[in-house]
Amino acid sequence: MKKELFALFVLILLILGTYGLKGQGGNSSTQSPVSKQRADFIEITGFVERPYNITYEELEALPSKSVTAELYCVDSPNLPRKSGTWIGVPLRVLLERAGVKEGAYKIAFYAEDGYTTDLYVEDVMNNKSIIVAYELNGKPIKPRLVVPGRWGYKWIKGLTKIRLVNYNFKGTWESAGYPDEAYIEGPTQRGAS
Amino acid sequence: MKVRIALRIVEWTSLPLLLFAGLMVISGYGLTSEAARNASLGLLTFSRSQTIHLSRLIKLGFVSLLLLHTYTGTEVLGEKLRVGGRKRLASVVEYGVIAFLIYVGWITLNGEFGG
Repeated sequence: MKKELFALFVLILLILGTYGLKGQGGNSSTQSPVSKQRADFIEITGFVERPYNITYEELEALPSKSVTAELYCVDSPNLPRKSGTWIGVPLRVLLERAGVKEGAYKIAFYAEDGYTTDLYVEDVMNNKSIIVAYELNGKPIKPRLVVPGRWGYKWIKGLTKIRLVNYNFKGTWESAGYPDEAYIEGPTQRGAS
Repeated sequence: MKVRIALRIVEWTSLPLLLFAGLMVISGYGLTSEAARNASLGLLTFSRSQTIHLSRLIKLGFVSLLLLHTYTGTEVLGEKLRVGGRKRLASVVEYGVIAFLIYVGWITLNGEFGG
Protein backbone atom coordinates (compact mmCIF):
# COMPACT_ATOMS: atom_id res chain seq x y z
CA MET A 1 0.00 0.00 0.00
CA LYS A 2 2.89 2.31 0.83
CA LYS A 3 4.31 1.88 -2.66
CA GLU A 4 0.98 2.62 -4.34
CA LEU A 5 0.67 5.82 -2.31
CA PHE A 6 4.23 6.79 -3.17
CA ALA A 7 3.55 6.15 -6.87
CA LEU A 8 0.43 8.31 -6.71
CA PHE A 9 2.38 11.05 -4.96
CA VAL A 10 5.08 11.04 -7.68
CA LEU A 11 2.43 11.16 -10.39
CA ILE A 12 0.65 14.10 -8.76
CA LEU A 13 3.98 15.91 -8.45
CA LEU A 14 4.64 15.40 -12.15
CA ILE A 15 1.19 16.60 -13.18
CA LEU A 16 1.43 19.66 -10.95
CA GLY A 17 4.99 20.33 -12.11
CA THR A 18 4.07 20.05 -15.77
CA TYR A 19 0.84 22.05 -15.82
CA GLY A 20 1.86 24.43 -13.02
CA LEU A 21 5.02 25.41 -14.91
CA LYS A 22 3.06 25.90 -18.11
CA GLY A 23 0.78 28.36 -16.35
CA GLN A 24 3.76 30.36 -15.11
CA GLY A 25 5.31 30.72 -18.54
CA GLY A 26 7.74 27.85 -18.16
CA ASN A 27 6.93 26.65 -21.65
CA SER A 28 10.10 26.19 -23.64
CA SER A 29 8.57 27.83 -26.70
CA THR A 30 8.83 31.19 -24.97
CA GLN A 31 10.96 33.52 -27.05
CA SER A 32 14.54 33.69 -25.81
CA PRO A 33 16.34 36.99 -25.15
CA VAL A 34 18.69 36.21 -28.04
CA SER A 35 15.87 36.09 -30.58
CA LYS A 36 14.57 39.44 -29.36
CA GLN A 37 17.94 41.00 -30.09
CA ARG A 38 18.22 39.64 -33.61
CA ALA A 39 19.08 41.90 -36.51
CA ASP A 40 16.49 42.33 -39.24
CA PHE A 41 18.83 41.47 -42.07
CA ILE A 42 20.54 38.53 -43.70
CA GLU A 43 24.29 38.55 -44.20
CA ILE A 44 25.58 37.00 -47.41
CA THR A 45 29.25 36.31 -47.09
CA GLY A 46 32.11 33.86 -47.57
CA PHE A 47 33.26 32.73 -51.00
CA VAL A 48 31.61 35.58 -52.88
CA GLU A 49 32.88 38.57 -54.84
CA ARG A 50 30.66 41.13 -53.10
CA PRO A 51 29.55 40.23 -49.58
CA TYR A 52 26.48 42.20 -48.53
CA ASN A 53 23.67 42.47 -46.03
CA ILE A 54 20.09 42.51 -47.13
CA THR A 55 17.33 43.82 -44.89
CA TYR A 56 13.94 42.14 -44.73
CA GLU A 57 12.43 45.12 -46.56
CA GLU A 58 15.01 44.90 -49.33
CA LEU A 59 14.38 41.17 -49.59
CA GLU A 60 10.67 41.73 -50.07
CA ALA A 61 11.38 44.33 -52.75
CA LEU A 62 13.24 41.83 -54.94
CA PRO A 63 11.40 39.91 -57.68
CA SER A 64 9.55 37.17 -55.86
CA LYS A 65 8.63 33.62 -56.66
CA SER A 66 5.80 31.62 -55.23
CA VAL A 67 6.30 27.96 -54.39
CA THR A 68 3.65 25.52 -53.24
CA ALA A 69 5.30 22.95 -51.04
CA GLU A 70 4.91 20.98 -47.85
CA LEU A 71 7.36 20.82 -45.00
CA TYR A 72 7.87 17.35 -43.57
CA CYS A 73 9.82 16.74 -40.40
CA VAL A 74 11.82 13.58 -39.82
CA ASP A 75 9.85 12.83 -36.65
CA SER A 76 6.45 12.91 -38.39
CA PRO A 77 7.08 11.80 -41.98
CA ASN A 78 3.44 11.35 -42.96
CA LEU A 79 2.08 14.60 -41.62
CA PRO A 80 3.13 17.89 -43.20
CA ARG A 81 4.23 20.31 -40.49
CA LYS A 82 3.53 23.29 -42.70
CA SER A 83 2.01 23.53 -46.13
CA GLY A 84 0.76 26.05 -48.59
CA THR A 85 2.11 28.74 -50.83
CA TRP A 86 5.40 30.25 -49.87
CA ILE A 87 6.52 33.55 -51.36
CA GLY A 88 10.12 34.56 -51.38
CA VAL A 89 13.23 35.21 -53.38
CA PRO A 90 15.04 32.39 -55.16
CA LEU A 91 18.22 31.73 -53.24
CA ARG A 92 20.04 31.63 -56.55
CA VAL A 93 19.18 35.30 -57.10
CA LEU A 94 20.64 36.29 -53.74
CA LEU A 95 23.83 34.39 -54.52
CA GLU A 96 24.12 35.86 -58.02
CA ARG A 97 23.92 39.36 -56.52
CA ALA A 98 26.93 38.48 -54.38
CA GLY A 99 28.82 36.80 -57.22
CA VAL A 100 29.73 33.24 -56.39
CA LYS A 101 33.49 32.74 -56.42
CA GLU A 102 35.02 29.80 -58.20
CA GLY A 103 35.70 27.06 -55.70
CA ALA A 104 32.57 27.70 -53.63
CA TYR A 105 31.32 24.23 -52.80
CA LYS A 106 28.65 24.48 -50.16
CA ILE A 107 26.41 27.04 -48.56
CA ALA A 108 26.22 27.26 -44.79
CA PHE A 109 23.03 28.71 -43.36
CA TYR A 110 22.78 30.16 -39.89
CA ALA A 111 19.65 30.92 -37.87
CA GLU A 112 19.15 33.42 -35.08
CA ASP A 113 18.87 30.60 -32.52
CA GLY A 114 22.21 29.04 -33.50
CA TYR A 115 20.75 26.33 -35.75
CA THR A 116 22.66 25.62 -38.95
CA THR A 117 22.13 23.65 -42.14
CA ASP A 118 23.76 23.40 -45.55
CA LEU A 119 23.18 22.91 -49.25
CA TYR A 120 25.47 22.33 -52.19
CA VAL A 121 26.10 25.42 -54.33
CA GLU A 122 25.49 23.41 -57.49
CA ASP A 123 22.07 22.22 -56.26
CA VAL A 124 20.98 25.74 -55.46
CA MET A 125 22.18 27.23 -58.74
CA ASN A 126 20.22 24.57 -60.66
CA ASN A 127 17.00 24.80 -58.67
CA LYS A 128 14.74 27.83 -58.92
CA SER A 129 12.33 26.39 -56.34
CA ILE A 130 14.71 26.87 -53.43
CA ILE A 131 13.67 30.22 -52.05
CA VAL A 132 14.18 32.41 -49.02
CA ALA A 133 10.53 32.82 -48.10
CA TYR A 134 9.09 35.77 -46.23
CA GLU A 135 5.41 34.88 -46.58
CA LEU A 136 3.34 31.73 -46.10
CA ASN A 137 -0.28 31.61 -47.23
CA GLY A 138 -0.45 35.39 -47.30
CA LYS A 139 0.99 35.87 -43.82
CA PRO A 140 4.44 37.34 -43.18
CA ILE A 141 7.03 35.04 -41.66
CA LYS A 142 10.64 35.44 -40.60
CA PRO A 143 12.93 34.56 -43.51
CA ARG A 144 12.92 30.83 -43.97
CA LEU A 145 14.57 28.59 -46.50
CA VAL A 146 12.05 26.59 -48.53
CA VAL A 147 13.62 23.48 -50.02
CA PRO A 148 10.85 21.43 -51.67
CA GLY A 149 11.30 17.68 -51.62
CA ARG A 150 13.79 17.71 -48.76
CA TRP A 151 13.36 17.05 -45.07
CA GLY A 152 12.46 19.90 -42.73
CA TYR A 153 15.93 20.19 -41.25
CA LYS A 154 16.97 21.92 -44.47
CA TRP A 155 14.14 24.46 -44.11
CA ILE A 156 16.02 26.70 -41.70
CA LYS A 157 13.93 29.49 -40.18
CA GLY A 158 15.00 32.81 -38.71
CA LEU A 159 17.77 32.94 -41.30
CA THR A 160 20.51 35.44 -40.40
CA LYS A 161 23.53 34.42 -42.42
CA ILE A 162 24.32 32.69 -45.70
CA ARG A 163 28.00 31.81 -46.00
CA LEU A 164 29.53 30.18 -49.03
CA VAL A 165 32.41 27.89 -48.23
CA ASN A 166 34.92 25.80 -50.14
CA TYR A 167 34.76 22.79 -47.84
CA ASN A 168 32.21 20.22 -46.78
CA PHE A 169 30.35 22.24 -44.15
CA LYS A 170 27.67 20.27 -42.31
CA GLY A 171 24.79 21.77 -40.38
CA THR A 172 23.37 20.88 -36.98
CA TRP A 173 21.54 17.69 -37.94
CA GLU A 174 23.82 16.82 -40.84
CA SER A 175 26.72 16.74 -38.36
CA ALA A 176 24.67 14.42 -36.18
CA GLY A 177 24.46 11.90 -39.01
CA TYR A 178 21.29 12.86 -40.86
CA PRO A 179 21.72 12.49 -44.65
CA ASP A 180 23.26 15.60 -46.13
CA GLU A 181 21.13 15.43 -49.29
CA ALA A 182 17.93 15.05 -47.20
CA TYR A 183 15.75 14.01 -50.11
CA ILE A 184 12.41 12.66 -48.95
CA GLU A 185 11.93 9.13 -50.21
CA GLY A 186 8.77 7.07 -50.26
CA PRO A 187 5.12 8.03 -50.08
CA THR A 188 5.71 11.50 -48.64
CA GLN A 189 7.95 12.52 -51.53
CA ARG A 190 6.63 15.76 -52.94
CA GLY A 191 8.10 18.33 -55.19
CA ALA A 192 7.20 21.92 -55.66
CA SER A 193 4.80 23.54 -58.03
CA MET B 1 3.66 -8.64 -5.62
CA LYS B 2 4.76 -12.19 -4.97
CA VAL B 3 8.40 -12.79 -5.84
CA ARG B 4 7.58 -15.95 -7.74
CA ILE B 5 5.20 -14.10 -10.05
CA ALA B 6 7.62 -11.20 -10.38
CA LEU B 7 10.39 -13.56 -11.37
CA ARG B 8 8.14 -15.21 -13.94
CA ILE B 9 7.35 -11.81 -15.47
CA VAL B 10 11.04 -10.89 -15.55
CA GLU B 11 11.80 -14.09 -17.41
CA TRP B 12 9.00 -13.77 -19.94
CA THR B 13 9.63 -10.11 -20.71
CA SER B 14 13.38 -10.57 -21.24
CA LEU B 15 13.41 -11.69 -24.85
CA PRO B 16 10.72 -9.32 -26.18
CA LEU B 17 12.47 -6.49 -24.34
CA LEU B 18 15.75 -7.47 -25.95
CA LEU B 19 14.09 -7.37 -29.36
CA PHE B 20 12.41 -4.00 -28.83
CA ALA B 21 15.47 -2.43 -27.17
CA GLY B 22 17.68 -3.75 -29.96
CA LEU B 23 15.40 -2.28 -32.61
CA MET B 24 15.29 1.09 -30.87
CA VAL B 25 19.06 1.25 -30.46
CA ILE B 26 19.88 0.07 -33.97
CA SER B 27 17.35 2.34 -35.65
CA GLY B 28 18.48 5.25 -33.47
CA TYR B 29 22.02 4.85 -34.76
CA GLY B 30 20.61 4.33 -38.24
CA LEU B 31 19.03 7.76 -37.98
CA THR B 32 22.02 9.63 -36.66
CA SER B 33 25.14 7.87 -37.90
CA GLU B 34 26.26 7.31 -41.45
CA ALA B 35 28.97 4.96 -40.18
CA ALA B 36 26.30 2.84 -38.49
CA ARG B 37 24.24 2.74 -41.69
CA ASN B 38 27.31 1.64 -43.64
CA ALA B 39 28.12 -1.02 -41.07
CA SER B 40 24.63 -2.52 -41.17
CA LEU B 41 25.29 -4.57 -44.31
CA GLY B 42 22.64 -2.67 -46.17
CA LEU B 43 19.85 -3.40 -43.70
CA LEU B 44 19.61 0.08 -42.28
CA THR B 45 18.68 3.00 -44.46
CA PHE B 46 17.68 6.38 -43.13
CA SER B 47 14.03 5.89 -44.06
CA ARG B 48 13.91 2.35 -42.68
CA SER B 49 15.48 3.55 -39.43
CA GLN B 50 12.96 6.33 -39.32
CA THR B 51 10.06 3.93 -39.80
CA ILE B 52 11.27 1.66 -37.00
CA HIS B 53 12.36 4.33 -34.56
CA LEU B 54 9.20 6.39 -34.91
CA SER B 55 6.75 3.52 -34.88
CA ARG B 56 4.32 4.09 -32.02
CA LEU B 57 3.85 0.36 -31.65
CA ILE B 58 7.57 -0.21 -31.16
CA LYS B 59 8.01 2.76 -28.86
CA LEU B 60 5.07 1.87 -26.64
CA GLY B 61 5.97 -1.82 -26.73
CA PHE B 62 9.51 -1.01 -25.67
CA VAL B 63 8.48 1.31 -22.85
CA SER B 64 5.77 -1.04 -21.56
CA LEU B 65 8.19 -3.95 -21.47
CA LEU B 66 10.85 -1.78 -19.90
CA LEU B 67 8.51 -0.66 -17.12
CA LEU B 68 7.19 -4.14 -16.47
CA HIS B 69 10.56 -5.86 -16.60
CA THR B 70 12.34 -3.28 -14.45
CA TYR B 71 9.59 -3.02 -11.87
CA THR B 72 9.28 -6.75 -11.37
CA GLY B 73 13.07 -7.16 -11.48
CA THR B 74 13.39 -4.58 -8.74
CA GLU B 75 10.80 -6.43 -6.67
CA VAL B 76 12.92 -9.56 -6.93
CA LEU B 77 16.08 -7.65 -6.06
CA GLY B 78 14.34 -5.91 -3.14
CA GLU B 79 13.25 -9.24 -1.72
CA LYS B 80 16.76 -10.60 -2.02
CA LEU B 81 18.13 -7.59 -0.18
CA ARG B 82 15.50 -7.94 2.54
CA VAL B 83 16.28 -11.60 3.03
CA GLY B 84 19.93 -10.58 3.32
CA GLY B 85 19.03 -8.13 6.08
CA ARG B 86 19.44 -4.94 4.02
CA LYS B 87 15.92 -3.64 4.36
CA ARG B 88 16.82 0.03 4.13
CA LEU B 89 18.74 -0.42 0.88
CA ALA B 90 15.86 -2.50 -0.52
CA SER B 91 13.41 0.33 0.16
CA VAL B 92 15.69 2.96 -1.33
CA VAL B 93 16.14 0.92 -4.51
CA GLU B 94 12.43 0.08 -4.84
CA TYR B 95 11.14 3.60 -4.25
CA GLY B 96 13.85 5.10 -6.43
CA VAL B 97 13.00 2.79 -9.29
CA ILE B 98 9.27 3.41 -8.91
CA ALA B 99 9.81 7.18 -9.09
CA PHE B 100 12.05 6.88 -12.13
CA LEU B 101 9.71 4.50 -13.96
CA ILE B 102 6.73 6.76 -13.36
CA TYR B 103 8.78 9.63 -14.75
CA VAL B 104 9.65 7.57 -17.84
CA GLY B 105 6.00 6.60 -18.29
CA TRP B 106 4.86 10.20 -17.87
CA ILE B 107 7.29 11.47 -20.51
CA THR B 108 6.22 8.67 -22.85
CA LEU B 109 2.53 9.42 -22.40
CA ASN B 110 3.07 13.10 -23.07
CA GLY B 111 5.45 12.45 -25.95
CA GLU B 112 2.98 10.15 -27.68
CA PHE B 113 -0.36 11.70 -26.88
CA GLY B 114 0.41 15.19 -25.60
CA GLY B 115 -0.01 16.84 -28.98
